[in-house]
Amino acid sequence: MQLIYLVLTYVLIVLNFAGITVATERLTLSPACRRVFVIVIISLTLFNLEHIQGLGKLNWLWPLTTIASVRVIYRHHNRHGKSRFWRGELIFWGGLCYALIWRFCFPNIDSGSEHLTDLYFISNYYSGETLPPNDRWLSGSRFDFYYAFQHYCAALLGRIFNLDIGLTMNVSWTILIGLIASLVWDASSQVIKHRWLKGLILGCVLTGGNGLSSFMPWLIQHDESAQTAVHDIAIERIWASTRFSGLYDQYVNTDFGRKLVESSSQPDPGKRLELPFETIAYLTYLGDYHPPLGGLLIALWTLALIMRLEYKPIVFSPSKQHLSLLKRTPEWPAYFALGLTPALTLVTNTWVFPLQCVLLGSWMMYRQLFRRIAWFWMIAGLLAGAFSIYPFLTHFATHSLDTPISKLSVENHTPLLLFLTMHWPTLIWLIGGLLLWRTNRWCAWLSFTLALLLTMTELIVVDDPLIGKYQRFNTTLKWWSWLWPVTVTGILTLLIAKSTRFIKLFLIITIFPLFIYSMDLIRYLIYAPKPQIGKLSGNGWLLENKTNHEILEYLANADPGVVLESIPKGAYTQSSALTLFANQSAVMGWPDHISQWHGHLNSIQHRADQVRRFYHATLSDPLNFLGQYPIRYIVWTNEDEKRYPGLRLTINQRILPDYQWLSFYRHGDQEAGVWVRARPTPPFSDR
Amino acid sequence: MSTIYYFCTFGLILINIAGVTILFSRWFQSFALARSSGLVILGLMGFFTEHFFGLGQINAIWLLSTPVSLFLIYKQIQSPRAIQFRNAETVFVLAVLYALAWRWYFPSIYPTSEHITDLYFIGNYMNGDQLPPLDHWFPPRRFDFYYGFQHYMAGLMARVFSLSAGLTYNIAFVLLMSLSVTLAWDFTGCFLNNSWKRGLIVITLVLGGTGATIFANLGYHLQSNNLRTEIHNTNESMIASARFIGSKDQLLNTVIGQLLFPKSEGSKPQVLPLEDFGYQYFVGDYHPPLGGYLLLFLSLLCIASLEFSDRQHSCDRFSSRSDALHQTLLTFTVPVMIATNTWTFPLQAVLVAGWICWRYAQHKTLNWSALLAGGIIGLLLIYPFLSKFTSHSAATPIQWVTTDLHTPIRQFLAMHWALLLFASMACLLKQYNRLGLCFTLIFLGLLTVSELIFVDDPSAEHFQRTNTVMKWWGWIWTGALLSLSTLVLSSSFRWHRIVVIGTLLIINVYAINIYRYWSVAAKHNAGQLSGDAVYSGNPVTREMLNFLNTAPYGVVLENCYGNAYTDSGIYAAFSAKPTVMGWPEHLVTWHGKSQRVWRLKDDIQQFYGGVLPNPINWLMSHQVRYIVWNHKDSNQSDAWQTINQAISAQYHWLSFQQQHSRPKGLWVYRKE
Repeated sequence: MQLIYLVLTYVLIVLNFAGITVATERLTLSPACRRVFVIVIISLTLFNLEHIQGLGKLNWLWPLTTIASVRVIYRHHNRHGKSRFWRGELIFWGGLCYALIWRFCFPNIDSGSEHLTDLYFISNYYSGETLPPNDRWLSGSRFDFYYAFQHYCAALLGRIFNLDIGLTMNVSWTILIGLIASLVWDASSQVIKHRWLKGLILGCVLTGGNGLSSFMPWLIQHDESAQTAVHDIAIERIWASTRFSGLYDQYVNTDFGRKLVESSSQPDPGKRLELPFETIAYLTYLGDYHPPLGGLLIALWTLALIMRLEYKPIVFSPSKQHLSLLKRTPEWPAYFALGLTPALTLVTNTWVFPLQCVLLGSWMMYRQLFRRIAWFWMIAGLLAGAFSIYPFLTHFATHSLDTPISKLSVENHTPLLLFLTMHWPTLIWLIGGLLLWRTNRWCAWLSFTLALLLTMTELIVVDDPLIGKYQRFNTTLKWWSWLWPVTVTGILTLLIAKSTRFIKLFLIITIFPLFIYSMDLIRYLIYAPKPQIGKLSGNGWLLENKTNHEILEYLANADPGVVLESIPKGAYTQSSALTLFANQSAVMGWPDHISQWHGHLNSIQHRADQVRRFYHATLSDPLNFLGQYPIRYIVWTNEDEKRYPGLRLTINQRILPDYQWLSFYRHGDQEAGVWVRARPTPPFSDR
Repeated sequence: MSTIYYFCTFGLILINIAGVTILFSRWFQSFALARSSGLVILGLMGFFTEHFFGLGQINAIWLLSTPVSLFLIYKQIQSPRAIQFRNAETVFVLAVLYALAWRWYFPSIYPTSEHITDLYFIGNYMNGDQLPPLDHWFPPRRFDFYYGFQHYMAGLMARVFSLSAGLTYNIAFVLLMSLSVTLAWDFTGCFLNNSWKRGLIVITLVLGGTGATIFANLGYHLQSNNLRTEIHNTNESMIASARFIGSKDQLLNTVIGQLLFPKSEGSKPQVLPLEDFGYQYFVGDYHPPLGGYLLLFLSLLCIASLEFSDRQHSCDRFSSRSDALHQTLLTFTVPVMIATNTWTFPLQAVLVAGWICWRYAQHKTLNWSALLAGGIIGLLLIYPFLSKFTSHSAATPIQWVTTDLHTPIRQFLAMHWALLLFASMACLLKQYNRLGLCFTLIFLGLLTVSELIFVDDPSAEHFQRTNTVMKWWGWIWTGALLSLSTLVLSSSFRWHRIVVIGTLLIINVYAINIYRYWSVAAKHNAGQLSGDAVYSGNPVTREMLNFLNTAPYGVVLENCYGNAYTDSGIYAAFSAKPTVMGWPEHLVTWHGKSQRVWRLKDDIQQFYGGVLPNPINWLMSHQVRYIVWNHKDSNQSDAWQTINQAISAQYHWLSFQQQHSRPKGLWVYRKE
């Protein structure tokens, strides 16, 4: 039955997306770019408006938009026939299905990685209140310090289609991958005719590893005789190439591996810099709905738009000349869209904002120097983007962390051999691109720009609160991971399209080693256990415990209120999962994350400390603490009962005047449940 | 006075239904089809809309709809189809009168079968809140785990005509059964011209039993010494045909009975009931199988209308449009079944898909757009319901029927012999493009499937297959009986007709059981359609019920007297208000062994025993507004004193009986 609902949900969403693509047919953009364009325009406009007035529930919208979509698709059918409509949609649906297979097999939104963090970001926007919304991980505060536009878009989707919050995140993730796939295909379609070549590039972007992944079987070898499960080896390989330096480099067991590690100036493996390099394939395995994916989407959209302008310009017919500015510049939507991208990146993934600016700026300079540029629409786009995010910026600028740029010291550079093994495909393609200066100037220009950016990652670093071996962690994680798909889509595509048969063959050979990573990905997909398969609400892992299930059902249906959950560790725990899945606000989410985002404020540490002391029954005036935030529900899970033995009764005694214990589990002395504020909350409202 | 009110209410409702019938008869040739489909479509549109925003009280609607309906009736009487309309309405009114006779003489809603459960289902939908509504048996949860579309329809009727919950229950039951009967009547009309043949089939549906009826009557002889045992015996004989396998077949006491069905040795045999359409009148539950039957008959009539239309060879425009609409309606019934009776959804899907495949194999025209449109529109209309239902309904994994769980062959044949006989004759029929073969394959195929798989719900041991079989066999039997007997009765072979008539008469032996039951069963609550006669006989209880009926909305606390089928929750159910907790066993079934239920039951019993610590906090945390202290609780006067003392700061005592030694009444929350 759940499958029927899921299929129906996807059909509705896909139908609406197809509707907007068809309805905006007049915009001179490819279907893939147009789809993203409309999503961006709608979301940005609402993002702006909701900073003035929250629109609340929007689930009444989908019946109307679905009817409208069916109508425009039907008309389009009658006018152009089926094939054109299908062609435009097929790749997007293919990408969507590929992503759905992943989420269907591994739907959990759990304490691993940033799953719960992303759920929290989405939950902030889910209620449709005026932005910036209340912070669901720090009751009483506003969520205005993080660039979470992509989470706003997800919440919008959830609000329109009335999806559960977990389902919202999983569905949004699949859509994001679907959009990325359609853009990569679209960008390569501008210059490449053969479908298998386009498929190869798409496969490389979606499932390929970084340069290091192709050497991984010769760096860390697994003992075949050992009883290690296939999927465990696959997981290790998936992680090893993305987190090699500083983490997996200590597990090398081959001559080549040792040689590679010894090239580092830091002999102590515990102090070696962590230099993560993530690809879309890795992010697919991880399943985080995190800003890097949104940043990539914008970068690939930029490339797809540029490719179309560069290689398939819209032919302007002078005979149909018209005075209208729109008609005189048929490429205006592309320029306008490109103009939107810096602002969009700023609110989606601020980390790659400089990279996006360099990419766009470089192209603008190229157009100014060698070709024509519609400055009017370009500036209009830039201004429109800036205007749309301005209300967000007014809060974000003052509340986000300062991230000064610092020069990288010599000892923090990536060792040359490691750098080469990591980036060898990028380097080959960039050199190839530069060599095309005479025949394909844009390709060379882009290669130069990307080479510059790659060099920049070795010269400067964003000085965030992380120090020591993590000093370059966030910078390389964000920047290298951004550069990779941009290089594949931007440079490799052009190289394959514009080179001779022999070079083409050579380039294809350079791609194949990257598919070693795909093999591990497939192995993981096939062999890894899938206990929660199909439970796209993402909370299957949490509901395995029947008491948790009942507490969640209770909280999800109870009146809105602040929830207190225990925080056994600083981060990556189950803490606040029940609250988030129940769409309520937590007093305190993951303290380490919150503390980092707020610049290690004392008040946050104090609050976390109060929560811990409350659960240890050592807080001097618990009722005062509970009234301060004000807390309506206090969760006491089976884990809390084990973690704080015997303390439940003490706590109950101390908060008894105002709180009532509701038991959801009892076995001997053991109990689990929820304390509910009984007074002075009014017991009911008249209807 | 109440009779006059009931008469007026029925009059108003029938006028409005007639209006809907006329409105939809523009698209459907059959008035029965127009009536039922019109109500289902309008109801489903309301169901869809109210998932976005609740429409609240809508009792002004009838003021507008009644004059419009009267005007439509007036116009219809003058139209060329006046006679057909009059005939269709006569059949409907006759069906209503028969069903009403049952509810009129046995109107009480009390803890037997699923009466109270259905009353609570209806109560959930009577507020007009946004759907899914608050679960009145387990607040603050939502009522999103159950397929309650037919209860929503009843709730909608209550909101339009301002009916009480109990009255709504009884009227909705009467209407739902009657709608099905009219559809069956029109189905027979597509193949048979003789009214008596049609009548025989419909009477068999309404008054007939199962294949086991004859064996139950021959093999089960009960001695009656006095009126009490006579009542018990007639009651048993009513049940025997349905609950034959694994239950009554073990109690057979005549020579024939014991010879044919020797008692099983060893482990207890599986209880495998077949609750057919006619049996539902006796049970009186407004339960989802009723809605399932309506949709079954609706789809069968759609199929019959399409086949009938083929026979006419008419190629006019109305016919092709009408064919498209029938096909749309046919596939529309499949998703609607999910929200009405999920148990029979796969069966309904097989029926519709089976007919489409058969039609396709025959190279007959199929309007694919219409078929698709029906399914998609239906799915879209229940989509908002599905979004919560799919994640909150109990899991129902499918299991293979193991050898020891199969139906014993004798009992299987005893139960289904009539169906097998009809099927064997129907599949030889060459009339109507071998439609008989199509129905035979579908219904016998489904019967075979019911012997191969079952839904593994929480029932265990000898009840393992009970729920599945109860839901599936009733549907298969009723659908096969109507479709196959009609087709075979229309056969040109005389011996076919004689065998069918003979078989139908044997099934109708059940009418004798009904007659006996009616002649001895107690009817002292006759005419009290509000359904609370069992309770309102006591003046104090009546007064308390009246008070709660008119009191503002709020959670009612009632004592927990047991795990199920007790008087817990009846005040809340009759006043369409939430109670702190309904019947624990039902809640555990729906919510999967919920521990919370048992904790809550303990708390409630402690509260009523006056030993719950800090009762005010407990009441406030459950948002309790009314606390019932009835005659069952009143013998604990010490507990009353303790509770009153503990909660008097927030709750004032409303006494409904002046005798202070045994107080009866309500505590009501003091508004600040």
